[in-house]
Amino acid sequence: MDIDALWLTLRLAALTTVILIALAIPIAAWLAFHRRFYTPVLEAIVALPLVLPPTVLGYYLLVALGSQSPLGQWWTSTFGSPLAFSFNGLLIASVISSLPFAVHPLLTAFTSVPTKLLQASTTLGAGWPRTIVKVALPLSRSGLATSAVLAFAHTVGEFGVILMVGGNIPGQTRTLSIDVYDSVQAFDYSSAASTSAFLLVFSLLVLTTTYTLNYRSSVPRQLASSYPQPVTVIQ
Amino acid sequence: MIIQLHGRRHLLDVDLDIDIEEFTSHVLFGPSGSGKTTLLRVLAGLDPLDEGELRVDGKVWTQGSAIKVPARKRDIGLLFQDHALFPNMSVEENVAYGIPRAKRGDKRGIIQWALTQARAQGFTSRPVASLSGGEAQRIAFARALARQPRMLLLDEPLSALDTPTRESLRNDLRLLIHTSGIPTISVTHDRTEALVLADQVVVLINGTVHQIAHPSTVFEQPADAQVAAAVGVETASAGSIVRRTNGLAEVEVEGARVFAPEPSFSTNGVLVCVRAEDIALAKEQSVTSQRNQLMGVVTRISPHGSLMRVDIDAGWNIASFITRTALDELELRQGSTVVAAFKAPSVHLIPHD
Repeated sequence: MDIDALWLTLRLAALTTVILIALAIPIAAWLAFHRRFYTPVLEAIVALPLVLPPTVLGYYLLVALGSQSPLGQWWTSTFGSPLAFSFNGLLIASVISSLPFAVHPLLTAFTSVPTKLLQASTTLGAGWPRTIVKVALPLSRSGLATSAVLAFAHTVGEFGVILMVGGNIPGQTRTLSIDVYDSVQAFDYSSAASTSAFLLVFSLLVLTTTYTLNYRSSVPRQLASSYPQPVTVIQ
Repeated sequence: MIIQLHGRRHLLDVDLDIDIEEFTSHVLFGPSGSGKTTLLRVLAGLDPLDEGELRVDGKVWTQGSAIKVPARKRDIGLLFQDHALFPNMSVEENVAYGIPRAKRGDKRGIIQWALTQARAQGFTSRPVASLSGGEAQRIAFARALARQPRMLLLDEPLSALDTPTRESLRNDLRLLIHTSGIPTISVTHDRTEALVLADQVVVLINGTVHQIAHPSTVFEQPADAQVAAAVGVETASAGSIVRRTNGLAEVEVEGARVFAPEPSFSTNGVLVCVRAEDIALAKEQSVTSQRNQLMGVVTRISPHGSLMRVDIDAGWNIASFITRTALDELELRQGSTVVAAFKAPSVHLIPHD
């Protein structure tokens, strides 16, 4: 197994998860607690990476990050290196393609927080930020854990988008999933087998952990029936 | 604090002007589905109006569908039916939650004060989930008090509790409201609760205000037939005034004639109301101060709480509450002949077409 690829994959997944959680909390809170007639459109946009072929998503990201785009040009002139086919470009692509995996479990958890508690918080003088941090998030701990685990796992398993945006640059953009593809292309089946086996075991562990976390909900047991914590796994 | 609410929300359609500081404890009383809770939620800023506006001390709080002053800035303490304590926090964290930033320096002191006020010092170390309904409601009351709000809103504060807890907390709640001194509006559909808690009752039926008065006035002199029905006047029948003499009105009601204090209105069509606890029963007519003595036949005997309800056909169908002992002494059965006696002032007349 390619240790560089493993290290790169873990670094990418960890950074993606941190960024995604920071983004997912306000996005999920907004979708859950600020429902308007246009909310379904926003939910659809967030969920889009689930249904779009990775090649299509990858294509648009490539166009958006490429040297011809305003973002790509600004990045190159500011940091002196192009965004496409770089680790940073890959990070942006991962964040976008894993967004629904981070937002959805949290959204489900937020919507199951009893409205009454949110209203109690409001009448006690708290604004939305305080209500979310002090009431909604603590009651959505297992949803938050699911979000983080799925965001991490999905980034590790991402292939199409990474191939489109990152290419296959060792130490830069070659992740484990690309490494398997590359090994098969080069008829190196033993390397492909070990990396694949690693990813298989890893994924199984991640999902088992998620289900266990969901089962042993963070809410005290007596309340488990009145405040159901949803088991949400998208794939 | 002057509350002026003129507006609609779902079936609620009210014109209400009250100064809640005039009496410490106002009770919004009415049958289920009369819009009481909606009114409370509009006051709290949790619900907008469909039309109209809410002003408090002249300031617009809600204008139509726009909430001008959000709930968190209204400086109110809202008590939910089933406490709504935060299950992820300790009792003390719950109580401390609403303490305004400026007063956080004395957080300990305020928490202790609020818990003492709510008589809830005994169970502060227990997890919220292990509190009984009554204990949780006390903590919720302390949480609302800790803010030292300008007004307290209590939404059916006792209805989620079991009967013994409700009865013991009812009297306590009156005391808690009065010692806090914070103007309070409570919502209830329970007459005992309204009688115990209220200094002033606002009767809300089908979304409109029917009467605002002292509790005893509402229960003894309901303003109209709907209030009479809502407060549970057992006997209320249509009749007409046939003569007015010396401050007394002689009223023909179904097949009977009764005397009532002469009403101030001039119409002769009336609704004749008598509360069952004001009607005494006897075996025969006697010379007493009871001006109305109607001979009748017992049509039905049924238990009513700790009392017995006796329905009598005296040409006019009336009901009386008597004790079980009295029932035995009178040897009443269905079909027995009995005299129903009540004073003229027990008869309340409401204008009626």
